[in-house]
This record gives sequence, structure tokens and C-alpha cells, in this order.
Amino acid sequence: MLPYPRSMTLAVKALGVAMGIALLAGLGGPTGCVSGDIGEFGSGGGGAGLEREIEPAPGGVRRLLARQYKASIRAVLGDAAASAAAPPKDIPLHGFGTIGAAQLSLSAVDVEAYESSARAVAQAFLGDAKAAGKHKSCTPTGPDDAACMGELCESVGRLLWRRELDAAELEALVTLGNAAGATLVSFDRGAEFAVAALLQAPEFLYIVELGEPVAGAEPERRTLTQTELATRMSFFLLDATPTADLLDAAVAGKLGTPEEVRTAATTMLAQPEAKAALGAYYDEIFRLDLIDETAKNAELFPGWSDSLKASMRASARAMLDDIVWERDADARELVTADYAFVDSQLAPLYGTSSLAPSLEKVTLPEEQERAGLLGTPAMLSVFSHAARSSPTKRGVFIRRTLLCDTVPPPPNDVVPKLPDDPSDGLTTKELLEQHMDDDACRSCHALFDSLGWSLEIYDAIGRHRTKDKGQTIDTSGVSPNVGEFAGPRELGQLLFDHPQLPDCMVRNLYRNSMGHLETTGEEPAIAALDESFAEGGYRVQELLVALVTSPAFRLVGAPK
Amino acid sequence: MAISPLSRRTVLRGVLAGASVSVGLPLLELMLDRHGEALADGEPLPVRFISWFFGNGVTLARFVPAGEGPDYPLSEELAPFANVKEYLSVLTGFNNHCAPENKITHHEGMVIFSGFNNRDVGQGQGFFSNAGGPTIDQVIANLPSVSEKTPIKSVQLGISKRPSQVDFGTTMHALSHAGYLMPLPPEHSPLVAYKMLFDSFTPPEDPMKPHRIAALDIVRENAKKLSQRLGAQDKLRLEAHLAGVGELEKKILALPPPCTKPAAPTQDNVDVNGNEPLAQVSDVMNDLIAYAFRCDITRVASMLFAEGAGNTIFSDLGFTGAHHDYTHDGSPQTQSTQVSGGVVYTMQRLAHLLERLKAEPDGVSGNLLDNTVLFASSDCAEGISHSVNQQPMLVAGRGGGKLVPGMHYASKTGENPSDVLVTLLGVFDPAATSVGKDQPGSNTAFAPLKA
Repeated sequence: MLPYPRSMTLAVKALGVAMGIALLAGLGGPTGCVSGDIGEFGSGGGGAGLEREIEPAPGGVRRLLARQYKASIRAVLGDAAASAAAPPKDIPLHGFGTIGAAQLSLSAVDVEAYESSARAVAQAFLGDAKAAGKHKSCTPTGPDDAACMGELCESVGRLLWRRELDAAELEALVTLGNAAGATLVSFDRGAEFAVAALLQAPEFLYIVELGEPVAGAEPERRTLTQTELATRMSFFLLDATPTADLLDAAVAGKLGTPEEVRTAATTMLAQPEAKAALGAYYDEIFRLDLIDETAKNAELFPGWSDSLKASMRASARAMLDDIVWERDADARELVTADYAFVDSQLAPLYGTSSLAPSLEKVTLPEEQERAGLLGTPAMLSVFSHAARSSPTKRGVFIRRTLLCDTVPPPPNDVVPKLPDDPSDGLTTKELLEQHMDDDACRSCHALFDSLGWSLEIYDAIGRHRTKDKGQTIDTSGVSPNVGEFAGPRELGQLLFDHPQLPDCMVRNLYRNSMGHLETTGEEPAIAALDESFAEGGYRVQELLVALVTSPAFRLVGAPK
Repeated sequence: MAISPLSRRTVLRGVLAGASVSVGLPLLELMLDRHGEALADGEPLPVRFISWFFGNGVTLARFVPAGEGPDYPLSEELAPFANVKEYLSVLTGFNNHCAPENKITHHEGMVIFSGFNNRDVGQGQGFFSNAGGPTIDQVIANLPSVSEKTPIKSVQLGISKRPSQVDFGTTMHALSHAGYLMPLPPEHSPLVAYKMLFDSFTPPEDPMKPHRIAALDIVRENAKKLSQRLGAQDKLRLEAHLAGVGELEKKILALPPPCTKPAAPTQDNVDVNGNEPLAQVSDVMNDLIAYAFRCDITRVASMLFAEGAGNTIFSDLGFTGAHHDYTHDGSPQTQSTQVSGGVVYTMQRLAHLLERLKAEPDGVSGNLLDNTVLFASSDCAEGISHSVNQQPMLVAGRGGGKLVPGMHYASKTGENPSDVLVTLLGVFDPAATSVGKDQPGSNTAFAPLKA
């Protein structure tokens, strides 16, 4: 796997000690425990200078994510076919489905699932006269009509494999389709086998990003072909295979300049699929997807149900959509927004009076101090225990996901246990503070627990409260490299102004789009994206365009 | 605190979805020679392998038996094995030999199932590793003497769906790994597992059979063409893909097993009032394993009962907190009630599987457990410290007479657990001399287990 510049290289124990010293010395800045540095790379702006500075990561193949598989089938073979699709599950690495898709091998179980899915999809497609009609104008003369089978396979094959099929490939498909048709006495039943073969082929199931050598450059420096670029863009921005028009444009050489790429990207972003694709990414990065497997203590939280969980997830997504798509606003509002999308199920949690069955935008009561994502019941529930809140989990989420800091595992010689509390009278904060008597624990926990303490006014399902175990909750805190805050809203403002917040947004989106953790050689591209993100007012739509027009997006190294 | 075990009748109703189901003569009995001691073609009765995992360790003071040798007394946490004690060997005092730099909590414990150090440890966000090589179940499943005999090479099952909180890779989300970057995640749904094992065979006269095979030939041709352009790592991935195509082809061409197919289960693995139906799902999965072995559909299974550092809640015991959280609670009361209670509950599920196999005749005088090797362990010794020293192991079954069953061996020297894996592999491959690599690897068999 690729080296990761921010990974831990020192022994964990040494880091713990170093961190303790850093804290004792009151440094508060970048430390051994968190790598808070932001690279000072690049010439800014992009262009040829930047292109030369980038050392691209290796090219290769990436398996389609389950959602990309389904959406591609919907785009090429229609809704009925998409409903029949049942691909294997994604396996994320580093929290990204796209990284798992670039690294892991398929199992026999996966291959079998792809076959069953392909057969069901093909059957639904051939049974959908309107969808099938888009790929064949001919009326079959019989089960063995080779010309008509050829027309169908050529049209479907080009879109599924994202290239023209050659004569031998077409012949094999036609032979299969006609032979099966003869056995089953039906052209369509036979065609199912040819379409199912196309759907099981590696060139459909894997995105191929091998590039071609750059003239005059070393052989391991390659640039994606325009068709590969169109494919990478389409799967990143829309989660689907490129359209016939986009493929035509690529083949005609109309994706050769940054301006042409920008125009194509802007067109894609206007499609509803763009919102869904980014939403799926947010579900993953903010762990909204984990809410399905989040359990709560039924005695303490009797209202915990599948429909409540679905509302929580939809509510968080609605806020993100509002910032990115409805208002095209500063993405850093993610940690300061003073509103939420509330329905009748969520109203009691938020202490608002909304009775509408569907989500409505509501300004939240000032005293609840909810700050964007930091105040969403979805995030607060996922990053809690079954019975009580978890300042640690919430703090780690802020460090790891919002600031891209590295939070190392606990040292090996530490027994990570909470103190005995026989009378059950200690607040969560008191429990954690006692365990911080241990220097080895405190050195790292100080970095995230204090962030989490400010969110203690929200219980394990995100309800506002002022007391824990009868004691008034103190939401103030100080966190190294973040600053001093009185409560969640001030913490949100500190994060809003923190240079690592937008840099981390860029890094996460980059990892998702490229299918690997950024390498040192790609840091110049990250720095340039940071700069353009800031210049554009931190708007995500513009960042998406900047990313696909970045030289890093079209460069690859030698195949991995 | 203890729950009443489901009655045999309830289980059958659950699994077989009806009252009037008869289980026909299993495949192996159809194929036995006249003495019932071997298959009709003269081959010995098959031996099966199961690896079984439970997260967050045990509490050693309540787990380790007080005495050693064949007449050891069952401990408090091993009490559920009373009915199968003669088949159960308890191995304690072994130290996981993984490299020190493997230790990032919980992950390194998984090395006990493979003898390979984890790789890419600590990459990215810290709680990350990849399995360094194939797990023992996959080594066994890929022996020609095992894989060539059945239509399905191996099956991977799981019970609790609450994922590990500290794994940004796959090391703990999958018990079985075919190799580095080749995780085989478990199937949690009994309905899907049933379909995979019993309901996806093709009748010999199915007219679609040759065309499905012809479609796979097109897939192979496409893979070959693509592979030529790839680098070494992606070539390996396409090879794994093609191996899967080969497995599928074998399954399509296989004759449906002539034993009577059990009826489809009705119990699915979905929460009921927010609680996981752990016991019910586990019982159905145990039945599926027993049927699959009896019908010789597969000879290798793995069971990920609950993930290491996962948030499984043992709600049948009236508990409301996650097991992993309880293990890090310093209160002696929590350790003795919630943590140890969860261990006993888990051992009950494993004991049920052993009882299920013991109840299933195999050959004339034996049962499935006589001809099975089961290896069980966790990701650590005890959850509270998640140390991998003193990591306990259970070995059950007679391995077709090749294993000494029913003893407690307490290592005084922190022996290498992979020594045990070498012995277990030897049951299936007498020529095998080693398992794993580097520090956790072994080329020394653990002699006391060998019959």
C-alpha cells in the first residue's frame, strides 16, 4: 500500500511521552500525538508549474462501489434493471469505500453475487421494452438473428465497458446470445446471457485508470486518456458510468484542456445525481451510515427506533445539502450553522415545536448552543455509548474527521479502563478525569476529551440537557492547537477559523475521489486546492470543479 | 441471568419453517462403504474444519480450569461445555508471538488465526492494519485434498453485526482472509447463507447451464486482456477474481447434493426492538453448518460470533451496555457480572454448535464432532487490558481420530499458538510442517494434541 505522510512513524509509547512533555511545557501547538502541520507547498494557482511538481500516485484498477454499479445500470439499462441489481457490499479501507475498491480482491462469494445480479439485471432489462429499445432498433427475425444481437451488444457494451468492443469480442457475445436464444427458443432470453456476460466482465466491474506515457517525461509519469478522465470524473461526480455524449466528447478529444474539463464538470454538477453522489460521500465520511448499527439502551431511550434513526440521518444530510447545494455557501458553516432540519419525530430532541411529518428548516433555540454538525442527533448518537454520551468518541471525531489529525491507538503498557464507580454517582466527565490521572492516558486524551466535554450538554441520542448526574454541565474547555471555548458554539467558531478544517475537507474529498490516501508527491496538488478553496469562499461545488481540473486528477504513475 | 436454551423442537421449527419436514438420508450415508467406516471409493471419512471467533477475550480467573490434563475440571466460564467436555481441549498460557510493532490493541490478537504478522499497521488514522497472510481455515480450504471434494470451498458466517470501533481496515471485520488484502467478510443473514449453501445449485438438466459457463468464458477472456496492461498488485487482484470465477463454474457444474435439502430458515438477522437476536441466529447458523457438513457441501467454515472491540449488547442477559465498553470498566462488579456473563453466554453458543455436531451421526458409530476440528480464540486474553499474552484457545473435535480431545494444557513458557495451528493443519495435510511467517510463524507441531 501507499505510504501515508501523516501516519505514525514513531513508537506509540514515545509519542505518548513526547505529548505529555509538550503539554506540560504548555506548547499547545503541533505535537507528537497530532500532526497539526499544514504543508507549505506548491506554486499556488495550478498550471504547468504545479503539474511538474506533482509526483503522481500509481494507476490501476478500482472496483465499482455498490452504488456506482447500481447507478451505472440505471443509466444504461433503465430503472427496472437497476431494481434487480444486487452487487456485493463495499469494503472500506481507511473509512473510504473507494480506497477498499482500489486495493482489495474479490472473493468467490462476491463473484457469485455478481453473476446472480448480472442475470437478474439482464432479465429485467430485456423485459423492459422501453429500455431495451434504446439499444436496438431492429426486430429480431428469430432467436438466432446475429445482426440484431450484434446491434444490441455493441450499444450496451460500449457504455458498460466505456470503450468500443472489437470484432472478436462482439462475435463471442453474439455467438453466446444466439446459442442461448436457440436453446431457450427466444431472442430476448438469449440476449440476457450476452448482457449478463458484459455485466460480469472486469472491464465493467473495474474502473481502469492506466493512462498513457507523457511525451518527453519519464515512463512512470502518465496521463489519463480522455476516456479514462471522463470515466474518473463521472464516477466521482455522479457515481455513474459516463454518458454516451461524454464518451463521444472524450473520443473526439474535447476533454483536453482545463476549460473543457471545467465545462463538462459544471454540466455534471447540475444533475441531481451529483447531489446523491456527494451525499453518499458525506454519509460515509461523517459516519451517518453507522447509525443503522447504533444501539441504545431501551430503558433510557424508549423512542429509539429505525424511523427515528432514519430521520436523524436525513436531517444531517439535509443540512449538508442546504449548505452545499441550496445556498452554495461557505462549507465551514458545517460547524456553526444555527439551524436544523426538524420533523415531528426530531422536534422533541431539539426542543422545537415542529409537527410537520417531513423535515423543515428551523432556527434552533439559542440556549441549546447547537453548532451545525456538532449538534446533530445523528453524529451525537453515533459517537456515544448505548447508555451514555462519549466525550472521547465525539472529540476523536472532531480531531480525526474534521481536522484530519492522527489519533494514535493507546500505548501497549496502559490498561485502558474507567475507574470503579460503585455508587454510579460520577458524571462522565468525572469518570474520564479520574482516568486522566495516568500520564500515559492524559497525554492523548487531553487532545480530544476536552473537545467532547463541550458537547456533554447533548445526551447519548443528542437531546439537550443541562445536568449530568444532578450536576450542572460545564461546557468550557481548552484544547491544544484549537484554543479556549465557553461552549459548543464558541468551539464551532474556533473550528470555523481553523486552517485545518478546510484543508481536511480538501484531503477527505481528494482521498474519496482518487481511491488512495494522498502521497507526499501529491501534496503540491493539495496545497493548490487549499488555496483555490479559500479564494472561492470555501464553496464545495467550486472545490469539486477545482479537483477534477487539478493536474493531479489526470496524472497517474506506473500501474500498481 | 442465564437464558433458557431453545428446545430442539423450537430450533427445528425455526430452521425448517414447518412441522412436517423430514430429513432424508444424508449424502455421506449414501456414499459409505458397506461397513460405514469409509466412503464407497475407499477414501476415509472426511474431516471438517471450523474456526470460531469471539471478541474481547475472557476473564482469565474464571476461564482457566483449576486442574490440568485429561480430567480437568470445567471452570465457571467453561461450564456450558459439560455435555461435550470429552471433545474439548483448553489451551492456556500461550503468548501470541506477533511482532511488538503489530500491537495497536485488538488487531494483533487476530494473528493467532494465521501466524502472519499484520501489515500496514498504524497507517492513516492509526487504528489500521491488513492481515499479513491467509488464515488457517483458508490454508486448509485450499488444500487440494479438501477443496476438490466439495462444491463449495468454504463458508464464512457471522452473528453480531455491531462492528468493531477500532478497525479502519478489515483485520477484525473478517475472521477469514485468503491472503494480504483478501478479506472474506462473514455473511450475517441465515437466509442468504442458506441460499449460498443449499439453494444455488443447478439441476443437471437445466438448459441454461452451458450458456452460463460460456458467459464465464467471455469474462475470462476480458480479464486476460485487461490483466496484460496491469501492474503486479492489480494482476493479483484479477487472479483472485478469476479464481472466484473458477469456483463459480465448479458450483454451476456440480451435481446438486443428493441429500434432502433442509427447508429455508425463517429466522433472519434483524434487530427486534433494537436488540440483536443473537441466540436465535446463532442456533440457525449452527444448524446450517451441521447440514452443510453432513451433506458434504463444504468442509470448512468460519464463524465470527462478535467482533473485537465491537458494540455487541447481550440483551438476553438483561444487559444494556456494549460488551466492549464493559470490559474497560474497572469495577469488579462489572467484570464479574457483565463481562464474565457475556463470556459465558458466548461459550453457550459455541457449546451449542459442538452439541449440534455431536448429535449428527457420521459413519456407522461416530458423529460429526468426531470428524471435525474446531479452533476457537479471541482477539486478546482479557478485554480490560487487551493483552495478547495468555491468549486462550479452544480446540474441539477428534479430527477423525488424529487429535487428543478433552484435556487442559497450561503452558508454563508462553509457547507459540501457531504450534497448535501446525498440528491442526497436520490433520488435513500430513506433509505440512509450518504455518505463518516471521515471529508468529511456526514449524513446530504442538505434540500433546497429536493422537
